[in-house]
Amino acid sequence: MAQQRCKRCKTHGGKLTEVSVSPYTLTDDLWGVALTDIQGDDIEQSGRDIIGTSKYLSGDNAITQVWGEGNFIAVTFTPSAYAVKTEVGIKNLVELDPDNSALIKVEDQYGTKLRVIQTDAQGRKFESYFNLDKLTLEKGE
Amino acid sequence: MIVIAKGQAEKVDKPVKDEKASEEKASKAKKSEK
Repeated sequence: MAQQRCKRCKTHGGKLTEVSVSPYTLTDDLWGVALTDIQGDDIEQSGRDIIGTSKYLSGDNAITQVWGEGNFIAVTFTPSAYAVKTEVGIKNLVELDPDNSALIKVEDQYGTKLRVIQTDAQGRKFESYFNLDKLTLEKGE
Repeated sequence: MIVIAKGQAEKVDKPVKDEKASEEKASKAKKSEK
């Protein structure tokens, strides 16, 4: 008798679907920088756009010391249940850490696409992208 | 957490200032002062 294969588990697969994006809320701060200093509470996904307010992060802190002053957003990705690997990036892609989160410095807002590639257990890939054009970037003084 | 800056994505446990680059900058600045 042929072994029955599960069509809905991570090992045997199912259809990869679009990843979703939400504001980072796992902790109140990132490396000592309050999330409220990074972005407004209106950051959200709207179709293929990430919308909301990115504040101008300045001063001497763990983030500006390494990546400089500017506009950042902190988001968490929710991959499809069948994804075994999720990579995110703009030019190059890196695999998400277990927190599924990324801090993104928004430097070239218009035309920049945030790419997300999910891979399932069979090696099939599903690519999504998000535009940053509609973010409201607060300016520094 | 990953960080994407200047289009480049990298994995970051904790931000680490590039001390080597800063030292090189300082050393170059000293040389040009001479």
